[in-house]
Amino acid sequence: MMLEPERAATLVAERLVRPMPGGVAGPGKDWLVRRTLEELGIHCESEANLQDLKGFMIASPRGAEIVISERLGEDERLGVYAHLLAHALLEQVAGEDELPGSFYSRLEYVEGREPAGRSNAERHSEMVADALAKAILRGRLDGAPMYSYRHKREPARNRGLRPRLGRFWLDLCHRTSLALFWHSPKYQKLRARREMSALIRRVEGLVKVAYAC
Amino acid sequence: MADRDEVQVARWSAIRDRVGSCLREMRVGEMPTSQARLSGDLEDLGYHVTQSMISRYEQGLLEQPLTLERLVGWALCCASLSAPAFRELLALAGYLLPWSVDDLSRFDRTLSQYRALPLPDQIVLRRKLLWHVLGLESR
Repeated sequence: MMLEPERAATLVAERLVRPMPGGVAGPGKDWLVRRTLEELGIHCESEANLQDLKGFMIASPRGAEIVISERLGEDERLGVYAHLLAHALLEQVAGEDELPGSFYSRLEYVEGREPAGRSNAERHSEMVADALAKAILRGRLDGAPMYSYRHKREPARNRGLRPRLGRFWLDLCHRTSLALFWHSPKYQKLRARREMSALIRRVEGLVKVAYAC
Repeated sequence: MADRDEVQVARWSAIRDRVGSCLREMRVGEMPTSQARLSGDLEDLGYHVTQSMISRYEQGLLEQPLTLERLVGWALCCASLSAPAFRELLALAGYLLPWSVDDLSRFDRTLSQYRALPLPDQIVLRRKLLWHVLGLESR
């Protein structure tokens, strides 16, 4: 599969917080995101004939591509890119394999044109993707639980009971944070705050030192 | 006729009845697609297949082999297409769809979402799907 959503989301978030080349008169942020995705091998194009769709993503061993409606404004385009990446991240994290298999697709609908009768799970996933997309657009992926965007766990640095206990404790905290993120919009808001990210980094650092893990 | 063409024609002769009836089943399945609609949709994909050709392909009468591109295009234009039927059709034609069960269910989900879209969106999405599905491995 030619899609690395974690890498793409991280790079896009990093670049969005940097000052734009050329300042206000320079190209827009959507150009930057598109260029970043193209660099990562995700082909992006605009399409004039989309009606109910804002855009879509398809990935297969042939490559990954994003098609976006030409009618969207800059902010909307940014939102669609971020949403598509967020959904790909969630799919990757939910999957047992390293990558979401040989075929992946995601459609983003114009508001009010979504298919009727969406399941609770789909609506839930949409809400979480929304929070994750906001974190990407803010340029702060750390404003979301680590397990929502990071598929691979850090390898153990030390062996022994104490480091294992430390890793267990951290894993439990990350999982709890992810579960809260999935179920509570209030927690999503809280987790998006800089102070919260700083606190979590601090606690994680302390645990790693204390347990040598 | 070149050797390669002869081999292709012989191969097609051996499978055209089964492929034809499979294509017909796909077209007239749960959500039937008329020959006229199919012909128009294939035209949108850039393939010229007339209604009469559709009829003759379905009966296994046409000697001209149906290319992989047209075969996949045909399948994608049928409203009744499902991932297992698609896999079966390609297997009949000698192609392997290297997808897992999860991939097949994702493809099915995409197909059901795609069918609910208005025609212009369907055309755009279908072209892209065709490109991705054509990355198949030959058996």
